Amino acid sequence: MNQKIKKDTHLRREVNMNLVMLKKKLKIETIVIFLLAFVFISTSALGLLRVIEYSNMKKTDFVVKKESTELGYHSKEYVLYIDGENLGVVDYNRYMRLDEAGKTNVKANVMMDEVKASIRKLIMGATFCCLMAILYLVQKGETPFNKKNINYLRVLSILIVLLPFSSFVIDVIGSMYYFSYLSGELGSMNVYLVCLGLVFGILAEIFQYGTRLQEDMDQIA
Amino acid sequence: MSIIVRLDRVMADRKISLNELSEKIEMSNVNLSNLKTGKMKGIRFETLNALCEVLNCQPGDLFEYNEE
Repeated sequence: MNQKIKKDTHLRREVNMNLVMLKKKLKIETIVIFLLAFVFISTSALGLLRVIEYSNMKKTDFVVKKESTELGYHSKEYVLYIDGENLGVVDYNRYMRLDEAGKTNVKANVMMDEVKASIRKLIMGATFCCLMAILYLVQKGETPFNKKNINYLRVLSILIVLLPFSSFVIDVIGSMYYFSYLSGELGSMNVYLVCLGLVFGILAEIFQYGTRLQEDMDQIA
Repeated sequence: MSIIVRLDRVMADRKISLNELSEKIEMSNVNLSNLKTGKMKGIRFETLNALCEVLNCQPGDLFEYNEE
């Protein structure tokens, strides 16, 4: 019996040492995630500023031109120009669609794409913030099974599910408003993200059970 | 609960403070205080062993069962 008690004490000391090492490792990861969150949120803010800038520009500043490719196979691509600046190749089917009056509206497509990109980056930044909060709590020495982490995991789950749907909803609303028809896209990658979000939701419920066990254990001296 | 913790009595008899005892048994002040005031749901044998060793007593000296 005494040997078992000594073994248990030794095990507890080993667990505490492992926790100390984990805290040191998590410090670096927390910093990396913080930087990622900062980059995503700041680029999202810049994107929204661009949207405001584009909304003040004329429709004629947004042009899509058919140009030869660099491959030299006599094939052509559709290139977007905003105020004379080349912004790369765009999808013809999206950018050259017609509105009710039978005219193209490149500006509307550009703004929709910018809004989608900004909101996606904002959601990803928020996702990284949640991850950082979870790691920070563990790094502070708190047990991972606590009520705050359950809430962070639930928020993470919602954000991951929201990511593909945000683009879809903006596409639908934008196309209804500018082109008077419904149009949206949900690819297989988006369905995968929804599944991933659900996995985090399940993880949150598992953590809730773990929290109850942790509370029970904390009440044993 | 019908189990009464008599740890405070034994600590007074041995003239040992909470801080000193918590240091000797490698337990936090908060947890030891909660144990003393009967707020804990249970105790590990490891902790009981350490308490009996430091206070030089039997487990029965630390706990009392009251039928009421």
